[in-house]
Amino acid sequence: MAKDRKDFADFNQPDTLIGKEVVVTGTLNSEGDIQINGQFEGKIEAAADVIIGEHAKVKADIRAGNVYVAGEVEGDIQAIERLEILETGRVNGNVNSQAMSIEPGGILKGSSAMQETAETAPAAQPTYELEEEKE
Amino acid sequence: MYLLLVNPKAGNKLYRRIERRFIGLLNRYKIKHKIVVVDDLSSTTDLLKENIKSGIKAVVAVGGNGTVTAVIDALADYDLPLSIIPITKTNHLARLLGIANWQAGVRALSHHHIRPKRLGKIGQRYFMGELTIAPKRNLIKNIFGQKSRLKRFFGTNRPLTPKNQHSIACQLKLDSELEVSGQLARLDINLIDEGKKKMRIQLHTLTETGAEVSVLWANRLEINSSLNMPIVSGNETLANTPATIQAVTKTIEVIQPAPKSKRKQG
Repeated sequence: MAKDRKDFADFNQPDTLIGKEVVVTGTLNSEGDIQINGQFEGKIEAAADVIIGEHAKVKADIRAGNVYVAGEVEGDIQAIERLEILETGRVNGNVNSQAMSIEPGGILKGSSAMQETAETAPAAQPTYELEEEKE
Repeated sequence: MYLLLVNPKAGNKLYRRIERRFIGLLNRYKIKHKIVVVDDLSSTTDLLKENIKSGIKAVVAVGGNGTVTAVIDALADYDLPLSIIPITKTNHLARLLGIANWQAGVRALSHHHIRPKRLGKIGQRYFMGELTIAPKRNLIKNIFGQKSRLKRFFGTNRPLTPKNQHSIACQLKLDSELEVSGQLARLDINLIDEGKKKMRIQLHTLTETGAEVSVLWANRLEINSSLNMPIVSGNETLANTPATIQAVTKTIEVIQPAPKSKRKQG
């Protein structure tokens, strides 16, 4: 389930957390949530959610369930469910998600592609049967 | 039978003062035992080799942090459970296991409730539980700041605040996948017992607004720092940076106090 703003604000126990004064390079893989408040360069893959904090500077391609951006991201983002660019967020790259929202003040420089969700896709193809005329 | 490796120097030579009561309590609980006195902790491996025979139910470290880490390191190659009887008040692992004093340690032996604990390695040395890596200045200030009777009397035995902490430039390499750099005031490493989970690494950094914690996971951690920092388990220094710390798949069975319901039945 996607997080709303209240959850985002209370998001203080992520599985992986990179603090403001920490610089990380490489590939970050996680089964749980990731929150980045410092600097990161490389690649991020998470089975759960990725949060880019307000002071974060990230140069990476990101692939995760939900992605919330309040800092700076330079790279492509693939959110399996939802991408949210918050008012302080800046994304310089192409994004791909099922649902996306950009708050006033949030910036996206790049193309966006929307995936078809289960709700919007037709559940089954309609079938047409012709009744045979009875003689 | 339990093999008791006793460090007579631990806890300001407390064992000599409690010896009669200690053996009395072992006999009261009908715990068959053999006591081996370890005068020099570096000979623990040899003493264990000489005294391990069939029929031994567990090896018991009787002493402080130094005794426990020496026994863990020596016992890692054997398939025998470990038990801890703390003689000092600062026995870190005993405290983590919920063993408050030597009497509780003896009681835990009588219940023989076993749980596997994961092992880690620093260089060629095994360890268990938690590690702390910090600049010497922070460690000393923390220990003396809180233990000083004079400071306690004046009410100034407060833990270190970010302002009076010292931080050191560190570079960490995690599983050859991530490189982390920052000014660290402390680094805590936890071995997680559940399944094959990685080590939990908590980096404490200092910011203008206060202390901040970063959390990362790895099976192998290489640490380099601009100044050497001690790697501490409880109050026992196991090594100094630069060092490589890794979580191994090996576990050691540890005797813990039985759960309360089981104790009532017993």
